[in-house]
Amino acid sequence: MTIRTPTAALTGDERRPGRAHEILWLVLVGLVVLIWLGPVLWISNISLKTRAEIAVPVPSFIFRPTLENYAAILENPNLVRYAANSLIIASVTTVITIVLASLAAYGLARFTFRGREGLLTWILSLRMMPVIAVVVPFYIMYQRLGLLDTYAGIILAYLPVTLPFAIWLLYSFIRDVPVVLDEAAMLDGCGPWRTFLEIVLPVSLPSVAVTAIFTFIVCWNEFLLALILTANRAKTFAVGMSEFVLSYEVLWGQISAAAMMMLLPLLVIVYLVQRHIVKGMTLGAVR
Amino acid sequence: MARGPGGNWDRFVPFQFLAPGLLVLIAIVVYPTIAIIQNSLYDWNLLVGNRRFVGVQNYASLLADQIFLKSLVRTSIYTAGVVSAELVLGFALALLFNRSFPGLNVLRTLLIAPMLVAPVMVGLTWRFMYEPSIGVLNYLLSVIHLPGLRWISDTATALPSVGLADVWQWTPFVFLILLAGLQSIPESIVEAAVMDGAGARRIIFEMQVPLLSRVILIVVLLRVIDSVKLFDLIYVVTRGGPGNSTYLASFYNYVVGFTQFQMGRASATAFLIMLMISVLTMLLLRVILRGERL
Amino acid sequence: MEVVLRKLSKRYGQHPAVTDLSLTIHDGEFLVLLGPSGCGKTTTLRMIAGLTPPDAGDLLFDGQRVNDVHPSQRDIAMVFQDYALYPHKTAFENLAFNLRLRRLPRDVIQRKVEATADLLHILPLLPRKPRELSGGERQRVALGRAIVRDPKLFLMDEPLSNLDAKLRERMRIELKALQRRLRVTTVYVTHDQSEAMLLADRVAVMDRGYLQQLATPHEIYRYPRNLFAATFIGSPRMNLVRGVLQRGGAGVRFLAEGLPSGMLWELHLPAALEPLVPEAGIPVLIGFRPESGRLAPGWRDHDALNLTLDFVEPLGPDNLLVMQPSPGGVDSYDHSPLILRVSEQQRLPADQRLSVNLAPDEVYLFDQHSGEAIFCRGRLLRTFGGLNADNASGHELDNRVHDG
Repeated sequence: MTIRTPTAALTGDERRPGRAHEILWLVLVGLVVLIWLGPVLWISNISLKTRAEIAVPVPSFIFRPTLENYAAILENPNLVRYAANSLIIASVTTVITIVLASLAAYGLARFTFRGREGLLTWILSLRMMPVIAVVVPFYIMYQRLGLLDTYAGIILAYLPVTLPFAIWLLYSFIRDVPVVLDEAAMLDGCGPWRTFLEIVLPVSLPSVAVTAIFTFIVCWNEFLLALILTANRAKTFAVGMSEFVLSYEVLWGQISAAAMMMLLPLLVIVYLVQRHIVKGMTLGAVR
Repeated sequence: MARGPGGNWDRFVPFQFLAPGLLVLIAIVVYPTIAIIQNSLYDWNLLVGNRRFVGVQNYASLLADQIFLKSLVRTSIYTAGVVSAELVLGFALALLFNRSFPGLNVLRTLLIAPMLVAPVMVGLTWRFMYEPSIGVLNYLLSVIHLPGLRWISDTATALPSVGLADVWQWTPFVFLILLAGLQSIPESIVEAAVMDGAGARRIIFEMQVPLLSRVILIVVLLRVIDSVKLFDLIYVVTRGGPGNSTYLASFYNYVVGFTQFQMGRASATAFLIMLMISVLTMLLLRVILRGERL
Repeated sequence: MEVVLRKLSKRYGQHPAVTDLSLTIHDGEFLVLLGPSGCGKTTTLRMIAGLTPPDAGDLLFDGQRVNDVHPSQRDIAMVFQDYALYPHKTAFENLAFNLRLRRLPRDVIQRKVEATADLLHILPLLPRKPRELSGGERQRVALGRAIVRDPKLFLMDEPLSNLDAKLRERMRIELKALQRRLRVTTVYVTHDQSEAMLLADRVAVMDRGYLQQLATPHEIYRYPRNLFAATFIGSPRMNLVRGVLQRGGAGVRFLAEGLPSGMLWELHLPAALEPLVPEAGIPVLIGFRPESGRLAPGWRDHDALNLTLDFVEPLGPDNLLVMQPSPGGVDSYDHSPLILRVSEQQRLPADQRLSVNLAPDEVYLFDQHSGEAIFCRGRLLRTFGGLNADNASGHELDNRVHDG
């Protein structure tokens, strides 16, 4: 395999990269994989062990695996309830976010009006807002309104976190849809709403899906807002997991099992959207 | 008058699309900001219930509060350390992987995962790894005949331990962005430099880094902002301890507001944090949007 | 439908794209907007469509002012340069879209779509999506989408430019036949002058935002209004020689520039012209098309253009003879080589010297300063220094020569 890359140019030999260089490269790659795969492997190892096996200072790699941790998680009624809560909250928030954000993104992407750039900048800046600045006033307000520990409350509190990000992401995606399609639709007789619903939105469906996935993940992972604004009824999975450490004996086996269960679907999702990650993370600043 | 596809439109038309999202945003963003400012002017303990107007006293006492000031200093040190580490490591990784090879996609998936895993999970994982007797890190140290560390139970090593987990989680982020940046540099430029006789070090520092300066700046600012906002990791790994040696800005705010329930002081703290982040955000936006046609 | 443009103007920031454009498109006519890129032809088309609102001027459809009518209400169909097919819909759905919006009954839609598809030979392609179609097939679907609507006006923005040469030629002819059949008013934008000549009932030549000439292809070819129109139409480009017109013995004489002894050429201009040539002579440009003139080997003393052959470009049935600039010979206006098109059977002299003899009705005369055409192929168009109203309504003509 001829490697025509700057690194190859640096090593000076394109046709036959030096054997030593190749080995060094492989070693480095192996190191990288080890560092970032290591903790995952470790956790998967722990998840299959009994409490006794975990408590030993010298970990063993040859042992008889047990599924008791996984069973404990699945049979823990609270945890299952928390997971269901997270699912519901994340789903509803995602749907609301996508609806609101796609409309706003279309308006921003396709129309020019006074104050448009300022609006975009403001929305972008909101993405950076510290969550703690949202939590404090919301907590005070929810106490008064009785919205603490409710689905509606937490969903509402998630929107300032998810909306700016989703609007910006969808805005940059819709911008990439050629305007000629809108123009063709209009010549065919569509007004702006029809154009949006029948042409622009369907064409950007993959982008909408990516945005929805990102939004869902953000909601699922969110911690601080859920910690403060939920208690028993609406507690999310993330908060539930953190409480494993509160009890006097930490059930590492079960924590590991839960972590593994969350990781696998995540990996599948990541594999699907990895191309869009950079765009999403840098708000389109890097092309 | 608004312009859109198909000519001129009544200004109302784009407004129709923007209104739902904007109204929600304004309600749930502008309101908290106003509320914070308002609440910060009161001395108000939520448990006791009295609310007393004290003007700017909260701010004055904050700025004299040793714990708060130390947390700010700590935040700066933490940020500087973590972001530099991520930058160096991320760039090194980007240089290393700036080529196409079988399994690139798999590797990318693997490296993206830490970013998308819940910080809580990352925190728990590392908390476990930091366990003095049954954690894997001390075990690895013992394998190479080094004494185990006290990691999160030692005030000196607690914050770096949190930092290590942070770096583990976010270096891939820096790596991915810098990699994208490197790959956007036309190969021909590097080849020309090689033919001019430039060595690897010169190419990296005099060509690639300057060409990526905007991207690097964006990444650094993003990570700095994230560090100031950091909460989840601290809560799960150290809960601020031992003592208050891992109190960072946002965590301190949480302590004031939700362990002491001093809503007035908490609001003032939140406002100050918001200000700091606003300044950073303005810088960030200036860099991102420089020359960009929106 | 008759379309009237009255003093339409559009500028983008500081850059004027179209200035004071006025013309009338007759019902059922195939009008081609022709010009180089940046001349404003696409902007004009978009203003007719309503996609780009004009800064000034009026647009009238059958006498009604439609400036404020939204594109979706204008009953116009447009074929875009990159087709703009809806990627998530099948070819059938693309064609049916407008009909569906108009709430036509499903069986009517089915019938119309199939009829149009049959006309364009794309029936088997109907269930496919655009990404499964070749360039030529997509182009037909885009065309079909316009035709099936039976609109009052067709707008086409260089619809053939993305096709390869052979397909393009074939589609041109099909398009012409189609338009003849359907008899729908059509405005067609292109930069390809041969395409314009083939397709157009009339051509509107544009340059830098101004209308240069509006006439039938035949008219523009024979009687261009100015240098721009004369050099834009016709490939290879018209040959131009600089010189001076003088009153002489038997009539008016043309003295080509750059000759030591002066190349004298007796031009038989209409007698009426002679008094208009001042004593001192007047600087002009003589133009003649590559396909005109009779060739003779060797050089001659008078009444002919002496040229030296540089090389030959074979075109199959014809040859292009590219001339050298020769010291002591005639040079072209902008030092680009003079080119002649002759039959491939024409014998060429070994010493590469030839002379061209032009008949008066093969000669074009241009005012050297303003670029206006004075005298073309035997017809007097205007007098020197004066403006003669012609069939075009633009002004500020170019003395720009288009590099063919």
